[in-house]
Amino acid sequence: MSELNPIIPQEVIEESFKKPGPKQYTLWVDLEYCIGCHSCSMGCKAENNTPVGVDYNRVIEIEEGEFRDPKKPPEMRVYFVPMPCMHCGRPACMAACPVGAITKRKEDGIVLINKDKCIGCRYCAWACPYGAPQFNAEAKVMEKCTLCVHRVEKGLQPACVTTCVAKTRFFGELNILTDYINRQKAAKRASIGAGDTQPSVLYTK
Amino acid sequence: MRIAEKVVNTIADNHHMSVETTLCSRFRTPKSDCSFCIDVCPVNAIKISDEGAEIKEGCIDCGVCYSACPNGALRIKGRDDRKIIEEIRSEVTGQKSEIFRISCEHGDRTADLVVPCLSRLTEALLLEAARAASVKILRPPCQGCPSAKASSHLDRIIQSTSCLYEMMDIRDALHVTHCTFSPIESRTQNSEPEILSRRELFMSFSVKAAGIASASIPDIGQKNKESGEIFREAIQNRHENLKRSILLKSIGNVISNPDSRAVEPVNVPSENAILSDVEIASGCMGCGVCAKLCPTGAITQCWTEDRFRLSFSARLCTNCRICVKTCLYNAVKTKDTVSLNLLLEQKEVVLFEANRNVCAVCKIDFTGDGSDLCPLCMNRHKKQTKMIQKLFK
Repeated sequence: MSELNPIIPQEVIEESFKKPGPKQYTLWVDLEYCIGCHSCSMGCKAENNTPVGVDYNRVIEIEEGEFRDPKKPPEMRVYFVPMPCMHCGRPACMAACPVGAITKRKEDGIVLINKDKCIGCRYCAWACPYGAPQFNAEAKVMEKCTLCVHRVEKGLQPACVTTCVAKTRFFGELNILTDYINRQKAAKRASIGAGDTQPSVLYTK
Repeated sequence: MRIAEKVVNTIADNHHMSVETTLCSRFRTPKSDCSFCIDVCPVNAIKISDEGAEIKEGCIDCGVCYSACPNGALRIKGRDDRKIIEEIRSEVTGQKSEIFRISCEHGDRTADLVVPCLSRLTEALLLEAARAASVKILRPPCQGCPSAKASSHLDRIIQSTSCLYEMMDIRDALHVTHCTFSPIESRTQNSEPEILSRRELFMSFSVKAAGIASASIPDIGQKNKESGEIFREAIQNRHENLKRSILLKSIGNVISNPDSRAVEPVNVPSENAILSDVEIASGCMGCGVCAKLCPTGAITQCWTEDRFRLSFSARLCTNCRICVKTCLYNAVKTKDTVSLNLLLEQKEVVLFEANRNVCAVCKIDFTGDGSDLCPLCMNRHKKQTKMIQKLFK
């Protein structure tokens, strides 16, 4: 696994898995190296077998700058922002669900939709500022990123992390990852906060 | 035999009360804060969780929770309302008295109708009793009673019943008289310990437990029903709100009586009313959550070829306000006052009607005009872009 992940030391991941008690598993995305190849989305789709139109992980492109002066070279930049579920500390989707189908697991902080309970009303999609819950038109239920809970429970990292070609996406426990990032690139944290949902996914640029 | 009986009762007794979980508001949505049954249960034998109300050990079969639950989720296995109505009828035909006296076990036990606790009474029972005579409730002081906790509910029943009397123009028919409190003599007095053979002990088990094994099998099935796949289906198969059906039948009986007077319009504040008048304000998106979660089927939705319709039958509404609490768009409202005459209305009212559209992206049905995209798909990109731009500032 360490060959797949040369930037983040293997110890950080192992420490995350071993940390006892209530914790918050999350992802760290380093936007500086993201090349917008969508391989995280493809890895996710293959792993979770999601139908067309249901994307647990989306990569959003943002163009910045404009052609101001025709004589000078343009000051343009394109950013790619991979958007999984933020597995928020205070999930807006959970508060909005009328039937209590969304739960946040205490042991690892993963927010999950109980598809058996879900009535497909899409209130969670309205409430989520990040567009994470996706409507499965076939099954008439909502689905979203599970942080590959089936892999994480076996001690494996989520599929999007292992397929990331640019090595810009990492898995770990929130506090351990935050400590590590603060040691590495302190000034470059980017906040995705919208409202007061306390998103757990970390971004750096 | 006494000790053995107690042991057998504790082990084999699977409660006299049962719960029709799908009618319980707390099962249908965690947004409901209904607590009528636990507020009145004198022995705290009801537990409420996300799985709805559940009867625990210690139930004394008083039936007060049945009377308190607006949705009729709690049911009595033995002497239920239908049996008591039969008792009332036979009592009324037997005697020529002008007054029908009702008391609890601690009051006057010679009354025409004796119920375990006066809070066990329902509007339907009081209506049935009032058909032939004027009703007199003999109420002993509740302070010393073990069921004192339930006493607050009696006032509520009397209040709503007198409104119903007013509607049907039964004047001067309900009186509450105080009487003395007489404790029930304990059956344990003067009893001597008794010798019981092992055979007798097991025989008493087998007598008491006959049929319990078979009765408990569907209960196990019910447990599985509550979690998983079936929640979605469970909220769709609606069970009848027996309490309301009995009340509507009693009202119908009173009205169809040739001696009865004309029905008068009565409006009551909808705060504690037995029904509410639901209306849809602007902002309805046609999500159908109110119809899906309504426990009694008072609100129903219907998608036709090109229209979406929400219908409401007020006579089934129990004022549980699930529709108001769950609507994300705050489109469902209840009127401040409600007319009790709506109980007599057989027809459904159309609450909301709009054109049906299918979203080109997510393939969901939605209401509205002139757009191929549902409002959610339309706003999604804008919402995300706006938020992500913050990342780089």
